[in-house]
Amino acid sequence: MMKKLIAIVLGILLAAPATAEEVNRTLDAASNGRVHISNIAGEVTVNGWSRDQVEVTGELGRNVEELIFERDGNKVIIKVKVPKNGGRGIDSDLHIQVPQGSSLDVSTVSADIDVKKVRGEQMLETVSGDVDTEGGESDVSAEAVSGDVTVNGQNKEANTRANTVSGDVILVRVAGTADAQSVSGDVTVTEGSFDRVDMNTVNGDILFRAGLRDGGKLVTETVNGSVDIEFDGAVSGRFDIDTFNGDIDNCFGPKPERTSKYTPGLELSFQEGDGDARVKVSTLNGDVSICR
Amino acid sequence: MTEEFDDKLDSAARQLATEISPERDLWPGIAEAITTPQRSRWTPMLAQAAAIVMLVGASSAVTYIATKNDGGPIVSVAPELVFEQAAFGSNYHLGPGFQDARNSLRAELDVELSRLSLEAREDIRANLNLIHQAIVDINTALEQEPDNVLLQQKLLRAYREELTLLRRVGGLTRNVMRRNDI
Amino acid sequence: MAALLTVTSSDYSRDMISDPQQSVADEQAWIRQAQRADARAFEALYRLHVDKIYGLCLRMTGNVSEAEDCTQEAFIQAWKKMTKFRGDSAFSTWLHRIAVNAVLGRIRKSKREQDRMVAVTDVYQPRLATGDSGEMRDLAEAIDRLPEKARHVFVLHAVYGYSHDEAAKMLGIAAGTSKAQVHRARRLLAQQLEEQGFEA
Repeated sequence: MMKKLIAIVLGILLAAPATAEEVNRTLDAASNGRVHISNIAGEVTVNGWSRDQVEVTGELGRNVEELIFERDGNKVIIKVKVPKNGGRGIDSDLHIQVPQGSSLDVSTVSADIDVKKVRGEQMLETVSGDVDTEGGESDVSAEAVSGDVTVNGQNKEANTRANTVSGDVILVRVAGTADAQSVSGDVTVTEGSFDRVDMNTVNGDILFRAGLRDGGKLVTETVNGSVDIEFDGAVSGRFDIDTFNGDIDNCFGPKPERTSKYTPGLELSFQEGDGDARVKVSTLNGDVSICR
Repeated sequence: MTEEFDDKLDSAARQLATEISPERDLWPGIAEAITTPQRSRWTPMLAQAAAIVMLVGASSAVTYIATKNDGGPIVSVAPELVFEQAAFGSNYHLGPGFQDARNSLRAELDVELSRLSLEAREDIRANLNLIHQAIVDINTALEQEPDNVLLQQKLLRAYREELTLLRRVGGLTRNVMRRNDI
Repeated sequence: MAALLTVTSSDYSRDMISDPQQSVADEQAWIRQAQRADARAFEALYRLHVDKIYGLCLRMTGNVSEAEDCTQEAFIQAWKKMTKFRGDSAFSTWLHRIAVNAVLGRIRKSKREQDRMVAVTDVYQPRLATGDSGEMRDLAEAIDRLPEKARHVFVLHAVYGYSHDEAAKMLGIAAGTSKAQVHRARRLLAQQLEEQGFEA
């Protein structure tokens, strides 16, 4: 009887729930097609390369039903299929190489997304996780609900959207137009140059250290936080700054005035030079500092 | 001007001690870890089997108990300001930063609404109610299926929509405040 | 970069500090022996470098108990990787890199195990005597309170003198992000310290 028990015990041990499954698959793909990636939990790392192929390597969680990996003309689809009630053992780490001219569509729930060397458009979305991308030469939309969003650009003209609810947004060397938003977190834009840039948060600071072009527009808004702006280069145009509970420190000269003698709050509007750039700064509880 | 302070900061930072003695001797913990023989460390398979604890009792029955890890902490939202609970599954929840943002916006809401016209107020309340109802519905569903990732996704989206709306209300009333000079 | 060599209570280290030249020669010998799994030699290396590693861990994590865990983790990893040390950088630099990885590894691990958003430093543990005093202490504590990513970059770049490229590489981020985080760190520190009337 003991022998049988031992056999059963060993049998159960050896037949223990499958460990993570390794993946290594490759498909030919269009050099500038669209790659759709969907993973529920784990990590997604995407790198552009010079081959006209999509390669997926990594590890699938032990409870993953399957990895869908197929091509349909110009599209390649990579999807981690999990049981409907999710649960444990679905974490999958995917490393994906795509043709560098591809455009990307990545959607995850609880996973970090990391993208490098992809030149096409990028739509990156996670609920809980960080999104990190080297923007290429095309429009980028990077969104998280709970996590940081970082875009490292190449100073190429594009429209960049970086959005999170709880987390920080950082844009570096992004050019053209940009919209950077958080609710509970800081928004930082450094290097790069803009025709239009919107920076918005509720509980967090705004930091701008980049260039605003002739006729460009910078709008920065926060509720509980400070706004710190230092322009790369000259800015000529109209400035409108207001804060409710805070100071305004203005390198450009004009001093702020009280909005009204009955309420706190400072505002400052002035024209610098004869250009038509527009700089709009607004905070409720926080200091404003503007310099060049 | 900030450059001056930045320079002061940088030179002060450079003077901070880079070598600090730990308060207790950390070597024993390290010694133990590095001298423990390799085979006592669990391989992944054994670790998984460990989730199934087996007892071979004196009676020839094999009893096994499957042990599940506990799920992560469930978020708890300050009840005074919210009329629904956020019930997330085991993977993640919204932390204190989010709660602070939401609570401070909600607290200001009534004050801000009072600055707007009756129509605007009604409109905004109606929208907020819609979103709240969605949040309640999704939370109810999540109680039955706490690990349903699609529901979790929906819930977080609903919260985001709510925050966006609350923030816009703040923006609107700020404009109003500025225009209404006494 | 002022390096304050603090004396630990072990007899071992008291002997070692007396003659720096001898220390270098000893270190080479200990490295060779440790690479052959000699734990006593490794302990000597530990005693020689622990203050540097603990200092780095403490500044990067901002928190005593995490720094202790990170320090132990770093040396355990170093032991496992001893044979990979080729001598093309200083041993302490090699240890630094391992320590930074230990800090990042623990963060990754805790994110996976729990939710991502609860601040690790929710309970602020005041630092006990570290050799910082007066305003340096204010600065050290303000750095402890920086948000995690900004703190990591600021510590490596401003306190330890790594370039943006080097710091970025150690942290697995882009050099541009490193610069942006330093800007953030400086602004946040400025806000904190101005309130306390900081004069460098």
